[in-house]
Amino acid sequence: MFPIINHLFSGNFYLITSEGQLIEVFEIEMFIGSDYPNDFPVVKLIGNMIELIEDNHISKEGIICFDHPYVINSIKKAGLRIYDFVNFYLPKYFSWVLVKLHGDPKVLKEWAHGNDGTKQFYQTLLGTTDNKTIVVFLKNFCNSPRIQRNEKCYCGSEKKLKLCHLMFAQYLKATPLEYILADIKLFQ
Amino acid sequence: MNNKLYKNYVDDIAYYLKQEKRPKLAKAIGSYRMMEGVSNTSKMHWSDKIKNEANFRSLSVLNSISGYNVKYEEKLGSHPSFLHLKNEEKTENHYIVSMFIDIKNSTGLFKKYDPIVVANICRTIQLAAIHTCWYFDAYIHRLQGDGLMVYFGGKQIDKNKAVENALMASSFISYFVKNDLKNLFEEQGLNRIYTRIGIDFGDADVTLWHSAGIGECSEITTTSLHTSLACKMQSQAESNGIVVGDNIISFKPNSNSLFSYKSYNDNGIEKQFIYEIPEENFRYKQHAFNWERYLKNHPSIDEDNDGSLTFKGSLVVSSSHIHNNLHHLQKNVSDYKPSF
Repeated sequence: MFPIINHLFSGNFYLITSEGQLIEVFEIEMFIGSDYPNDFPVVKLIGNMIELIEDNHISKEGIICFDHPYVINSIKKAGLRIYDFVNFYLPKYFSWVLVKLHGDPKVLKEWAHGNDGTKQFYQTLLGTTDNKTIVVFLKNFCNSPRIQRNEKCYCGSEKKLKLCHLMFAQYLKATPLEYILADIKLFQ
Repeated sequence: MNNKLYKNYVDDIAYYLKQEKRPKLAKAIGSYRMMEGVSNTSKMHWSDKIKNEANFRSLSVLNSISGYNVKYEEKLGSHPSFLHLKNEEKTENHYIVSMFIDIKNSTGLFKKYDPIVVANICRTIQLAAIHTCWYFDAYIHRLQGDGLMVYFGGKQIDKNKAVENALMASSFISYFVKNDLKNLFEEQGLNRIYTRIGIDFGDADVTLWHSAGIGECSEITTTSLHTSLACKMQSQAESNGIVVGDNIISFKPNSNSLFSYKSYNDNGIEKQFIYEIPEENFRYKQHAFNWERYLKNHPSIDEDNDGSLTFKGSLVVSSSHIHNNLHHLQKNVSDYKPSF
């Protein structure tokens, strides 16, 4: 058996333009869990480059909240290379913060904090703001032991799942059922 | 949190110090690749422009000391105030503060490290010195092996400010080598690398600016007793010491506690003056500069419990590099939503 190792990387992240010009430097520590590649790195900001407040999507301890937890669950399930994480999430997050501080915040999007963010997640995933439809979908989803392509869709549309919300159901599979059951109350 | 001012440079040097010479056998069979991971490439990391600029910016707190808002600029070569003299026969008299920095004891590194690693270590120290000088509006005139020749002052620059800048820059460089690098070399069982610095001021009447050499093999330089003396004083300095001439002290009339007279050691013979022309009644002395006291006395500088410097002044932050790239940043964030 290999020992369980948590990897720690520390150093500077250089946010650069597509021409290779330096925009800003962020000192970070990055922790990789033993489930890697089925793990999502935890990144801690060192120093005082960004105010450690919820509105900047960073905890008091400097931990950055890159994405909604259920999106992260799905990424973890599929597997993620550190290289891709660093090249995708770090430029996006740090650019987001710099635009908020120095640019026009109106162009920025974000998940709302807490339960409101989770509601937004389901609304985005299912493409509807109709609470009734979302509740029906989530209840049917939770009551189905496994996803079957030719069953009727969980949303109540009478279409086959493969012709309706199959992709979204598969996406949601990455999040434990007890969380989804608890989330149903958010729409009732 | 590590709040060493020169943390970026220290981290780089710590990385290089781990790259000891590879045993011949390991080298022959290539197993060092497995053992040492990334350290098997002969690469001059310091030539990476992004990293170099990032390291420079990591010292931006020095703007609060100098009062400038210095941007990264690679400005080796002719002093901008005297560019018009390039390949001309004209000369010009103008004051200048000359500073010589020598990084000593790097020879010992060859026992333990390959030349590429020694080069990286020395270059990182040299770059820390260059970047510090830039923050204090200096002009790097020449790189000489492990040393630097630096000018402070120029057209439209007040003489007092030029002297102040030279004293500040040299103090920070000495601080970096003496404090921030302190344990790194000891941990590796290496003799410590140290600096020796000499500074002098030559006024316009005794400092001639002119072009030297010919064609592409030329430079704009000064001929001045005080530039020569700065070099001589550097060789007189103790480890991590700074020696300055009489002229520098005349700009600091109420700072007796910062300077102590130092006799001139001429090949083992103690002399009162570093230079004299008896028939002109010209006698010139050198003085050790107490840079540690100078830093401690500065109203904007404090020391924390670890002896690391902290800064009280309001930070002069430049965000022009962000504003100039807002378009790129906005492109980066399209369809991105952070959470909490």
